[in-house]
Amino acid sequence: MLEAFDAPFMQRALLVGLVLAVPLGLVGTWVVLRALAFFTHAVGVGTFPGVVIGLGVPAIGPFAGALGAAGLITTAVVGLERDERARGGAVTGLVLSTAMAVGAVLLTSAFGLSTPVDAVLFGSLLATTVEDIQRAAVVAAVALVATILLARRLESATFDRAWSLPAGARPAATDAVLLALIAATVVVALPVVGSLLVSGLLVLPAATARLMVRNVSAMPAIASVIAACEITAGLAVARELDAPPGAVICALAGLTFACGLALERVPRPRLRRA
Amino acid sequence: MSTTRAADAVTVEALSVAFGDRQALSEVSFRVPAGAFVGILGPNGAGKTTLLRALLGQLSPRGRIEIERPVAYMPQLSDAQSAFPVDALGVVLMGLYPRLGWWRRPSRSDRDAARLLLDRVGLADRARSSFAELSGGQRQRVLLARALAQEGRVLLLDEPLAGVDTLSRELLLKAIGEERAAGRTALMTTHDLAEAGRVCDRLLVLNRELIAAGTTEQIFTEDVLRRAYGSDVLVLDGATAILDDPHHHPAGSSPWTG
Repeated sequence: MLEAFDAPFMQRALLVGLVLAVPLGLVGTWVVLRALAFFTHAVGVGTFPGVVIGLGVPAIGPFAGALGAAGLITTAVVGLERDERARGGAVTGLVLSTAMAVGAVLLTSAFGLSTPVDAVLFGSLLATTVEDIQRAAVVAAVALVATILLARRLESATFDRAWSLPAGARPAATDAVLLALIAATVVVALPVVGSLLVSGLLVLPAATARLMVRNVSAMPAIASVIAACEITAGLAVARELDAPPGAVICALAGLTFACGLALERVPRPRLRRA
Repeated sequence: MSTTRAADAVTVEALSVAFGDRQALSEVSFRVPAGAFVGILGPNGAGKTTLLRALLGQLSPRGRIEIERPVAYMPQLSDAQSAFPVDALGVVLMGLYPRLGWWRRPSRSDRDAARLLLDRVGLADRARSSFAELSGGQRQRVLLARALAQEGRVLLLDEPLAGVDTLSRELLLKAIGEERAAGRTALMTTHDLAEAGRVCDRLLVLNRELIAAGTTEQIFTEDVLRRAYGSDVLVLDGATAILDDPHHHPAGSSPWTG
């Protein structure tokens, strides 16, 4: 498997992948515990038209395009969901399919881009640049500091919002930071996994970690380690099969989660009782 | 219902709360002397939880509220996400964060303090059990221990005795009693008039306005209960029974109280 990483572009992809594993696990933990998977998917898909515009207008570039789109989608979903009638995923679904449609129209008609659509949607091994690594490192550092500093607030506000508000956990401000972290993580993970599958990498490793922990404190670190393993193995397999890395990594992550779920259901002697 | 003003833990004057067009509370005034255990009674939608939220400073009501601080809070059990991965000790530790600082990791002595609180509610041996594994009554006790960790001068308890088994009820009441003995004040919402009459020393009856406030004997009159509960009151040969909305009474407890 190691020879898969002989080529410099593979080493860059691996490096960005391992750096990404940090925010994917840390932020993914709260995506899972807050049931924000669908929202995260909307932000991921929402970056698709942004990336297309960024590719079509070189002055913008795909990174700024994705960042702008992720910010816009986050604000739109949060703003529209203030209306109680729009809760329950309706707005998220609407934003998601609109973004996909706009992206498809722009890609095929407006710009007539030569970039293959699957590279934007599912990631590309060749696309990773040194800048991608730097951006991922910045987001990883911010996510690490923020989730450590906000751990107690996130925990209280997620477990019992009714208590956390008068207790001073400032759940609304905590939510805003979490949503910004989700958007930032999605954007920096795009080069490797693409817009359509990025939510899978924010959800699946953390969901697998959730099966393994009794206490939230261990969950972010375990989720990051799982993400790192899945990204490493996925990149190697993608190279071998010449398949889009995002697709292979997410398939592996889904398989790992399914195995975890199955293992949990196998009756076994309990080693430790609480 | 107070002796001297200086000894009041809670003073509420002309408190009104509206949610849009709906008036949840109108012109409610009362005082709670320090060390009292007050039962807040009233039918569904009477504004009991709204009153607690106003006392917590979460709403922007009209009127005046003075409350001895800090205030500790125990919300209804249904507000907590029971599937959240946290053990009993972890929940109690949350109660320490407001005082210790939200940035800090709990220390060894914080953990010891939390364990002592679990011991007070009879759950010393369940510290490492996940919240999801605990029974309803045990969860209520953990939530009370979290409120105790806040070391409030006033304890606001929203339906702390709803749906709990006898052992849990006794342990919850014992812990609340210990707080009162330490000079703290407790206010508890409840649907159970009989229970409130037994354990509280003062009662507030609400139905979007203050119907009555006083001792059990003053409150348990047909007139007061009729004003609070309307046609859901039965008076049987001197004994009064309230037919309250049965959905508030989990299986095993009777909807008939009196």
